[in-house]
Amino acid sequence: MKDSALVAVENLVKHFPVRMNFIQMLFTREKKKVHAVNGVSFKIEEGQTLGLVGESGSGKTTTGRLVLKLIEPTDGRIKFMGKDITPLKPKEMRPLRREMQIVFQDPLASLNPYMKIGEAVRHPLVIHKIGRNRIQQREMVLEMLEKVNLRPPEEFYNRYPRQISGGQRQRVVIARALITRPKFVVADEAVAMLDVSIRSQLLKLMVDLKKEFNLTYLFITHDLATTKYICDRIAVMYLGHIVEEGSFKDIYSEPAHPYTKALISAVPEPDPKIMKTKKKMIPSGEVPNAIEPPPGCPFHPRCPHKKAVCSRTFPEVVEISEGHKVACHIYARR
Amino acid sequence: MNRERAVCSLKSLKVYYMTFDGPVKAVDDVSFDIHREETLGLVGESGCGKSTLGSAILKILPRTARIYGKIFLDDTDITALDEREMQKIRGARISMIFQDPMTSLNPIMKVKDHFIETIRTHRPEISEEEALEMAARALAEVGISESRLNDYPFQFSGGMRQRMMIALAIVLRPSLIIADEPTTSLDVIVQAQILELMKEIQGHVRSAMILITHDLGVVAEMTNRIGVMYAGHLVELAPRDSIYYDPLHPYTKALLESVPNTRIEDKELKYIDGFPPSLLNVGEGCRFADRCPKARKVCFEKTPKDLVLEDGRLVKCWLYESEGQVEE
Ligand SMILES: Nc1ncnc2c1ncn2[C@@H]1O[C@H](COP(=O)(O)OP(=O)(O)OP(=O)(O)O)[C@@H](O)[C@H]1O
Ligand SMILES: Nc1ncnc2c1ncn2[C@@H]1O[C@H](COP(=O)(O)OP(=O)(O)OP(=O)(O)O)[C@@H](O)[C@H]1O
Ligand code: SF4
Ligand SMILES: [Mg+2]
Ligand SMILES: [Mg+2]
Repeated sequence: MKDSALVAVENLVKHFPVRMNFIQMLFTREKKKVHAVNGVSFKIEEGQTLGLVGESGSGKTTTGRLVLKLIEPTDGRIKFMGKDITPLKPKEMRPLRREMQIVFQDPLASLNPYMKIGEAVRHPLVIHKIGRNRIQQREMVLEMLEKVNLRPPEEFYNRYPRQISGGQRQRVVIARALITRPKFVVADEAVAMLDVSIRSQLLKLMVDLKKEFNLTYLFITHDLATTKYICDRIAVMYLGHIVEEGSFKDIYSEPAHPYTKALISAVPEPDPKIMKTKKKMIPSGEVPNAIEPPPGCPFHPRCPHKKAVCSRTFPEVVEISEGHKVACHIYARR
Repeated sequence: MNRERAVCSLKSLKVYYMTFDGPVKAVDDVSFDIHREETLGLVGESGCGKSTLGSAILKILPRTARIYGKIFLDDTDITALDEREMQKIRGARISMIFQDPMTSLNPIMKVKDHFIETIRTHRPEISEEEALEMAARALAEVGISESRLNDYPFQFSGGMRQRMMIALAIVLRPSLIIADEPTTSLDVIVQAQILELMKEIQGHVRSAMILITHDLGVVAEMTNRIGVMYAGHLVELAPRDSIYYDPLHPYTKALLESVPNTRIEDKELKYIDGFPPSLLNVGEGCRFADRCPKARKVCFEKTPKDLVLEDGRLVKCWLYESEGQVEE
């Protein structure tokens, strides 16, 4: 099969050294590691959006940064536009940077408070030497500001981040990410901090821009409901593993993995009738820490269906219907 | 509706923050009653005044805030009470659960000392031993083993800390609990565990609860009645199902439409254009008028009154002016 995917990762692993205080260091001999990402594989076809969902600490952000090679993987491969970029040095990555961008959760933290927003959006053009001169770059920025609905763009160009609202700031960050006309954008909780009505405005903008620029997104979120509007496929993470992957419909109406089932049953729906009839399957306890993750299936200590094998071996990934993959012993081929 | 005497009742409550540029009218002319065993959800977007309202009832506002109007707790108007008298009420008759428990817990005090302090401040006649027994019972109610009384708050996970906060809030059986975004910083599964617990607890403590949140999913599950706030105004107040299935105020309608739901068929994303007005020096008129598809001339000129409709619902909008009676 020919690999047409724009982005493909295979068996990505990332371990971090544990942040320890002085006392802890005195008492621990062995070097402990945080198992942030433990063998993640997925592909994203050009023009598609993959949603990465999961609870806090499940490894979503780490995965997003690995894909862009903002951090080095402990193991595994990353392919971008068919090319293996895993061994590339930062200098060799540079020409690729304009093709891959990231939008973070907190726009205030990712904007320089002393830089006019027009200049902030122009900055990537300067770095990648795009545009003939300053005047042309300014034209490009104004056009981009218009596209993200910061109108009139001339007026917004000269404002500072603190002089605009949170939703408008996130528009600036999106404009800055798209000004180099990238192919691939990682959106890490890009709309999480915004209010409902503003969140929907931004989501709509991201969907429109995706069509206009034929963008491919990795859309990271802990909010399952927002994935419906923007994602073609969804991958569910738990403790550094992708435990299930499928279309929104697969994940939402036929979740297979016990963790996905729990996650979906826990989402509060803005509809009292649904809430009354919804069957909840809330596991007790909380996610174990990633320093000593449980052996076997990472979900087994909380799983209502666990069998003996679950605590011994990690389940292999099984495709239960076309494109719907799950890593759980219940579905193991006999 | 509910004929029993209200546990808490707000009469034309206003809370203004005084700044150099003028007053920020964070809560403006809000009136409602809340009864025993009832959970009232207070929803609205960031900055609409939800926390200010909750803090006003506890009188824990910053010095720059001015309170006008009245807040009755049973028969006492607490706006008239001084700080010493308020201390007797806080933690005993009204208690609060915050989004981040660490802001209200003392990091260098053991869990048991938090309980002993709370109990003995209000009920000095209770011995330390008895207080510890009460603490152990309250912890058991929230599913925490009493062995953890000797731990410090930072040794708890986020979810366990919120459980502990709930135990502390109910140990003296308050008549009113104010929960301000109690599950906002938790993951969905832990949130579901805590919400379940809160329902169960309220079932046997039988207090009234004001649940402040911006999450319309959480209120759909937890509340009996819902108040919708917009830019400092209470724009609609109605039984839960009326809000979801028969909303009256244009803002309530727009808000509900813009919330992402998980119905697979319905993929069209709706949103409200624009953003809420600044509350600094805000003048007359409906505060939603700029964004309202139904706005008329009068909407921009005069603030609509609180209309109480026949079924007891409250709506603050010129569209309904002829249908209800104006609450005086
Ligand atoms: N630089 C680092 N050093 C040590 N541990 C780290 C580092 N970055 C992340 N981790 C740990 O790796 C795990 C995965 O973190 P990550 O931020 O990828 O999760 P996430 O799914 O994005 O969570 P959230 O929803 O909270 O953003 C966590 O246990 C985290 O504490
Ligand atoms: N100390 C203060 N001085 C001046 N203005 C304030 C002060 N505290 C809050 N405000 C303003 O009062 C308004 C209401 O704030 P409040 O915190 O009550 O809103 P909220 O509905 O709880 O919002 P959120 O959902 O973000 O918690 C906001 O416009 C806020 O900026
Ligand atoms: S008062 Fe007017 S502007 Fe305000 S919500 Fe009603 S119709 Fe819209
Ligand atoms: Mg993250
Ligand atoms: Mg608040």
